[in-house]
Order: sequence, then structure tokens, then C-alpha cells
Amino acid sequence: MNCQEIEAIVTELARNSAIEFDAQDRALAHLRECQQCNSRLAEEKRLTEGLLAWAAMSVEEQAPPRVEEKLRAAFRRQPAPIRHRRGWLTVAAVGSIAAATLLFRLPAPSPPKAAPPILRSANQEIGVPVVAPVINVKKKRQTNRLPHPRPVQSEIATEFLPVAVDDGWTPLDGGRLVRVRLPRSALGVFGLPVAEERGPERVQADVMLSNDGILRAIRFVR
Amino acid sequence: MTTEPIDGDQDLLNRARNGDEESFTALYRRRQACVYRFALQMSGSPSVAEEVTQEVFLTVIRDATRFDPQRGTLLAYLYGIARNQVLRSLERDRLYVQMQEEPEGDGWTAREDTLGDLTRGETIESVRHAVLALPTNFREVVVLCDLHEMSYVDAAAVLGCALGTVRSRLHRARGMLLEKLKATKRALV
Repeated sequence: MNCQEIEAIVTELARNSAIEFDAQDRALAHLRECQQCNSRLAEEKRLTEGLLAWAAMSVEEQAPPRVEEKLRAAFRRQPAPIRHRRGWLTVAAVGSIAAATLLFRLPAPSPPKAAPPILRSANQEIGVPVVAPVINVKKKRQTNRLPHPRPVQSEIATEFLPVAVDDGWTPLDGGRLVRVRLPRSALGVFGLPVAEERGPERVQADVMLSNDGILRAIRFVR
Repeated sequence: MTTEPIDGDQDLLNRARNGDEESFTALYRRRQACVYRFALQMSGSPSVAEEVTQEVFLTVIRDATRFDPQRGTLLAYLYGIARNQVLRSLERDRLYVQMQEEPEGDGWTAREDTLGDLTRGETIESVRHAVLALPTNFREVVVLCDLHEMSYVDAAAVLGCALGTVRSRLHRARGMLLEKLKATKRALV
């Protein structure tokens, strides 16, 4: 080992860091013969001792007690965790109402040239599923978003409107989506405008049911 | 400092996330000293260290879900937040830090050896001043690796750089420290 090689590992030697035994032996052999490298290592070791002395002196240093008091007070001011989980409801509600208001005030579009047959089903009753595209919401855990049941290009949908049931359920708890047709008056139930002149028409909606069958959220589709 | 995964940090964090104040307090009491010392050694200012410690744990309160155990230990995560806070604070108070770079003369006596014949108090004080005068990217590796005895691997995780970068910066930083200590001593002769 030469002086240049010693210089490359002098920090590790002075800090007693792990280096290969072979390298250590060769370094020691060189140090026995080279006064300059020996002095260099001694200097580094003294620096290490100085740093360790500072570290030892400051080992008792810690934040003053008032920091803990402030942090505990801040912790208590935090909203309850359940409110974190249900935060999506508030956001979804505000966004959905705004979007739905715009959507259902627009005039009806001309019939699509190739509307999905499923939308033409005329004998569906209220709440009877037109289709049951069962989607396991649990598979969507990583995305943390409400699932989209069927991407159909010609459809426009509101955001999901949450149906408040105060038991802490979130989409991450699992559930399924079902497409239904509802009387137009259902729009009013969710605070959306109902066009009186189109009263007899039904509206299409996707309802999100939790695994126990309870309605959790709804979105209107056209 | 130990950066081995310590059983309990994650449990305490999980319980704190669920609103358990005692778990948060236990986590704080367990880890605040490391964070405070790191900030103090980086900034040289007890008030900055206090502010940084508070901010680190406020971040834990506000956004505990940001911690990803796949990416490292909770302690490394806390050091990472502390580092960002310290750098922000140093940037804000840059003028103040530059003034701190000027070593105080009363800690030195004229000797041949850089540190050899100094008293323990003199040694600590001179080393402290020299470390505080290092550029921050060199200072932080000295603080983490030499003062907190962190491995290169853990320091690299905290600093978000390669292990080789930590090693080379530490080598260079120590060279700069020795030069600063010698220069200061020469000025006092």
C-alpha cells in the first residue's frame, strides 16, 4: 500500500470504520514505515477524538419541556381520526353538487347513434339493477379513488354524492357498484335541480353499496 | 446513535395516528433528543434547534401517513425532516450563520499540534466552531456520521444521496476541518 492509498482510507482508519482485514494489514505495514502517513493518521485520530468529545458533551442536550407541552396541545387540537377517514365525503359532496347542477341544467343531447343496449332497457323498475357490474372496491385500495364501473365514452357522470351513514364506512372498506334507473325526482332528494317538464323520464344512476347492502353513494349518469 | 429498526416506534406512530396522545408523547420523548441535538449541532443555535424539533413533530402530527416504513426507519424519517427544516432555517438566517463562522479566539493556545495539547474544553469549542463554519452539505455528513455515529448507509438515506457521496464528503469535510483548525491556530500564534 502506498501513501495515496492510505490517504483514501485514512478517515475510515481514524474512525475505526470497518475495512477489509487485508487492507487494514497492508495499511498498518505501510504506517510502520512511513512517518508522514503516521502523522496524518494521528491528526485524523485527534480530530475524531475531538468530535467524539463534543458528541459526548452534548449527549444530555434535549429540547426544553415547553416544546413537549406545545406539541401535546397541538395534538389535542387535531380533529378526531374518524373525521380524517370521512373527509372524502365533504370534498365529494361539494364537487358533486356543483358538477351535477351544471350537468342536469343542460338540455338533453340528441340520442346517441349507438347507445349501449343496456341503457335502452324499458322495463326496469325503480331500484332494479339494469346491470350489476360487480366491482370489488378492495382491489382499488392503492388508488384510493372511487371506482368507475364502466368507461363508456358517451356517458357523462356527476361525482359520487355520499349518502351519510354515520358508521365510519369508506370506499376502502369494500363494496360494489350497481347501475339503476330512478324517477327524476330522485335528483331533488340529493339537492339537484329537477326539470319539471321532463318529469316522467327516468334518470340513470350508479349506486355504491357497501358489502352489507347499504347505499353509500350515488352518481347520476346521462 | 443507533439506526437499527427499533421495535415500538412504528407501533407508537400507529397509535398516535389513531389519536392516542400518550403514544405520541412516548414517541416524542424517545426521539426528541436526537432531533434536537442534530439541529443544534447543525445550526449552533438553541432557538433554531427548538423550532426545528417542534416542526419535526408537528409534521408527524399533521401528516403521519407520509412516513413509509419501506423507505427506512422512522428515526431516519425524522432526521430527514429535521434536515430540511435546518436548511430552511439556515437559508433564512444566512447572514447570522456567516457571522458564526468567525472563530472566537479565546479557545485557542499556540501549540504545534492541531488538537493534541488542548484541554478538553478547548478542543470541543474549537471543533464546534470549525464544524459550524463548514458548508452545510459537508457539515451535515460530519454531524450525522461523526457526532451521531450513523453508518454511511443510513446517512445516505437521510441525505438522499449515494453512499459513495457520503463517504467522499466526509473525507473532504474532515480535511477541511483540519485545515480550519490549523489556520485558526496559526492566526493565533
